Amino acid sequence: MSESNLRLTPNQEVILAALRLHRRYGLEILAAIESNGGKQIGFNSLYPNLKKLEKKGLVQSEWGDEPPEAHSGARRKYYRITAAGIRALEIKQELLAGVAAWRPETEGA
Amino acid sequence: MNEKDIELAERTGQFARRFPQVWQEYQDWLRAIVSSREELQQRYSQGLASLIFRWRLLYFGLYVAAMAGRQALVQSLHQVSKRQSKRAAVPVLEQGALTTQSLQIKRTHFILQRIATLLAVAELTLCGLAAITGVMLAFYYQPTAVGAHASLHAIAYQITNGNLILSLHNIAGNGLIILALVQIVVMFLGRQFMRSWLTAWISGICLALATIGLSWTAIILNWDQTGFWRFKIELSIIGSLPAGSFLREVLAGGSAINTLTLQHMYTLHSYILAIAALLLSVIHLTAHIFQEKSWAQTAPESWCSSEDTSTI
Repeated sequence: MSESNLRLTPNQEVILAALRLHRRYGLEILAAIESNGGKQIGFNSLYPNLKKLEKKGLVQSEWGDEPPEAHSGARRKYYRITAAGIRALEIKQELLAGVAAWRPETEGA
Repeated sequence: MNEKDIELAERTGQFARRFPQVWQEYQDWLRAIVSSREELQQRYSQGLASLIFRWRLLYFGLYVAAMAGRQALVQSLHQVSKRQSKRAAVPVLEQGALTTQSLQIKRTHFILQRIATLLAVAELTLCGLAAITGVMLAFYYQPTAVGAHASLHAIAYQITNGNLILSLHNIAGNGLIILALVQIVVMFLGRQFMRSWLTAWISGICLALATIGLSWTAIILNWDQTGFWRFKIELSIIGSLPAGSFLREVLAGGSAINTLTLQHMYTLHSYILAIAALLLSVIHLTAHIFQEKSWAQTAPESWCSSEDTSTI
């Protein structure tokens, strides 16, 4: 997987973090983020971001066992993080750790 | 939340099911919208909850429609490029020769694509420069028959840096025409390699037309002998076209060339065409960046690194 595919936007990062330990459906991801006081992702941006992550191979989806919703006939999908998704999160965390630890080289030392 | 909201959700579902591929991908979004209504009711007043619910449904519907449109466009472009590649295929060539040819085509594509993107950047820069200098000139320019020539003379010889600004405006305008025309040629040469050139192609042609229009409307703005007589001749040519008298009326504001003509030309030049050219150059550059990004995914690393293309 190319390096650019592992780059994450802040929203994608928090979505991946929500999926790190459990498979979840969309509303559950929002609830997980919100109940932990995190930045609330706009409802309308959650699903486009999930699809982008899926296209990049960072998450994969599977149909839930629940029956289709009575009015719209829509089914529920569960999302699960992939190994590449975990790697993308690790890269982000390494970057943050690297930024925190960086010190300028002392001149003339 | 009333029955109407539920009915709206049903209708949105019916609409989305018209596009099976998109529905397959995004139906869980609609389910989430419907499932979220109870929470909305608890959090907000009935009116506001209903408003948010409807907004979410509307956004979903628009998104689905946009995705369906995009898929249809991609499919049709894919079919067109498939047909073209079938026509271009030479059956007698051996496999090795075909691979080499394919690499050469990709290499040519890369060069043409990169040139086109750079030209689009240059066009936008010139357009911006012409706009900024144009605004500066507008501070002193008087679009009247009596004042036009005198005000330009004052800009050129009396106002600080006026000559520099006027020259930059002229150079940017003329440079823009040249680049827009060169760009059309570059895109024409690369047409068989370009995947989604339609936006870039059409915006490029419109940009070239807008720049020529800008140059033409500037003829009379100098209000000198050359400009006046040239405009008079060209206006009479326009007048002889079908519906020419109407066009002449719109462009010149009557049969004579006077202050009204100057004001018409000034408005067309400074507001309509200048804004159109700026918008078109932005669209044109955006289209090229997207094109280059999609192309860079398949290009060998040695031709262009993904870092390079992603930062343009």
